[in-house]
Amino acid sequence: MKRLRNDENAVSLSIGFILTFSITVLVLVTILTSFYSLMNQAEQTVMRDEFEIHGSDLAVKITTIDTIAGTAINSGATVGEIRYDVSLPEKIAGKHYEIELSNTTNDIIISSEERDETRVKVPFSTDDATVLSTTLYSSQGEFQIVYNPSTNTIEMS
Amino acid sequence: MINMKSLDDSAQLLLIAGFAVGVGIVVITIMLNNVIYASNIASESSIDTSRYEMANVLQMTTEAYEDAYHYAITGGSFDNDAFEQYLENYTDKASQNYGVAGLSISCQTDNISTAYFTHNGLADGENDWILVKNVNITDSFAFAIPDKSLLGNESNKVMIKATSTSGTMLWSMEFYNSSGNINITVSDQSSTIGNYQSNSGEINITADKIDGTGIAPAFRFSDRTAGQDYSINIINGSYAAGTYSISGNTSTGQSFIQARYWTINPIVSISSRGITINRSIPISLPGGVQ
Amino acid sequence: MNEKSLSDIKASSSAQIHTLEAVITSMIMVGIIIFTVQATSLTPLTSSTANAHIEAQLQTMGQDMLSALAYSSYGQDSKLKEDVQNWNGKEYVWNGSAYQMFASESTALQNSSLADTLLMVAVPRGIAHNVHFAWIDDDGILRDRRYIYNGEPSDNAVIISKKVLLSDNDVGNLSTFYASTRIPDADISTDFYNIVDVRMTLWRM
Repeated sequence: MKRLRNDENAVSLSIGFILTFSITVLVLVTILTSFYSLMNQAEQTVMRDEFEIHGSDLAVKITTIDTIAGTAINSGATVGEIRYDVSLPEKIAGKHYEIELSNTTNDIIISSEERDETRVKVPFSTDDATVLSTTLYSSQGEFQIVYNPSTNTIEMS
Repeated sequence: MINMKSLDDSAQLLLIAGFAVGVGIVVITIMLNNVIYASNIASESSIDTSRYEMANVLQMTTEAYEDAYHYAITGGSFDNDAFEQYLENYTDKASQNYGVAGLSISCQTDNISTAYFTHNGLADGENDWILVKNVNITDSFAFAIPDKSLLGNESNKVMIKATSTSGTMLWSMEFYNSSGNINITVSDQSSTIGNYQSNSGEINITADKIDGTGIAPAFRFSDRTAGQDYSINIINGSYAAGTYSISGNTSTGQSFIQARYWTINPIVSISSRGITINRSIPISLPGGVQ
Repeated sequence: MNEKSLSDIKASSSAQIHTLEAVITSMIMVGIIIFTVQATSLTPLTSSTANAHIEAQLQTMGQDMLSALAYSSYGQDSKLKEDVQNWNGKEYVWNGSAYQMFASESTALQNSSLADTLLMVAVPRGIAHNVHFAWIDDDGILRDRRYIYNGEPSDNAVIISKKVLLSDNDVGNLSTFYASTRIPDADISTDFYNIVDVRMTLWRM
């Protein structure tokens, strides 16, 4: 009996170990999943922020082209070429994204391919030239915003 | 001792949880840092000065052409070599100056040509435009149409008009090509002042002269516009080609002088890392046209 | 705790080690705090992410000032060009109420539209400013001389530049102009004089 009692320690040690181990794993998994969803949310916020930044950047460039074209038209000059070379990151937060220019709503819409929550709209406005509607994909990397003097349009490609 | 050991186990748990939190914070920080970085890049590009540079180049080039013209006519007649030499020196210096700022500019010059009575002097320029506004006194105002073949006929009359700031027409002159002669009609607010004919097409409005000789009745331009704050407009300008000069004082007391004998349309191109612009600049010579 | 363990602690010499450890730890902690504060010290002049926006603002403000001055109406010279023409080659300093000549304190800067604009826009907003006139010399090297100078700019200063064309007839007497301003005649054969780059540096105090 006394031996058994002594052995009790060993029993409680292994049970204790199993218990602690399983609790550790459980808690770890819970913490990691909660962090994962938190990070997911943070990632979306980051994507939206970055999309907004790149969208505003494009809007500024479109407006600049419009201003330069407008002053040229006003003074009766012939415009040969106005072109912006823009390079955008291929992936933001590890995902490709698409850029849509709409001239009906005058918006630049940027969204990640797999996530609707990341959709961002940046409005722009032009006085003289019209912007052609297009949809572009980030995998292209290098973009151009070009003013076409014969049709008085701005096209991004 | 056994109790202590099990306590040690939960310390490991804390340690692992701590690591998880640490990794999470690092990842979030890196991502936020990316946002800050991207927003800095974006605000760098929002202070993109290319349009200001463009405006500066246009203004300076216009001035250079005007000054080159002044230099080229110092000998009495227009010296094309001197004109081009001045511009070559200017282009050299300008591209050096912009090269320092990371911009490459080039200027492709053009030949001087007859000016139309449009805003920029080109045949396809703006037809109806304001020659000068907020005028108090016009000291001299004369124009000449040496090439009558470019002058419109009766259905395309060209009109010079003085309008007060309130919009009332004070004085007007209409002219058109009537079988090789220029037919001129001058009117004021209510009635016709006179009808005139010109053969060589030299009309001095303030001196009341056509083709160098005095006329009757007088044009009465100064008389009809006296004491008014007015603007001088040209309507249908593309139906006439020739030269003009005008000088006087604005209602703010500044003197103004502008003249156009020729027009020139050089092409300027500017390019930097991000932007490429390539356009023409219609320039009036000797200048002063807004 | 019982009597025995208490006496154990009393008798234990490892407490000294503990104290030493505590002292060292606190020193390391204080050291790290000092290091961090030093490394990221945010003075008003430190370049930080927020300053990018201030720079953009200063840039716009400066561009507007120079654009307004560069406007010329109906064949008149622009105010900016007049300032270059009127310059006597001297350096001016803001003394709190006026721009005075660096070399002789009693002489104030006269007839300067640049000074007037800066007085109206930059001074009330506490924006420090320098104005230099720069040109490219015969060897292709950029030279500049101070027009208005208020000290070394900070890390977030912005430079706004506007170029002004000078012809011989703008300058007047060529040799006197060169003697006072050191801006050379880039082309002796024709009427072209030089291009002067007006560089305005703005920064927050």
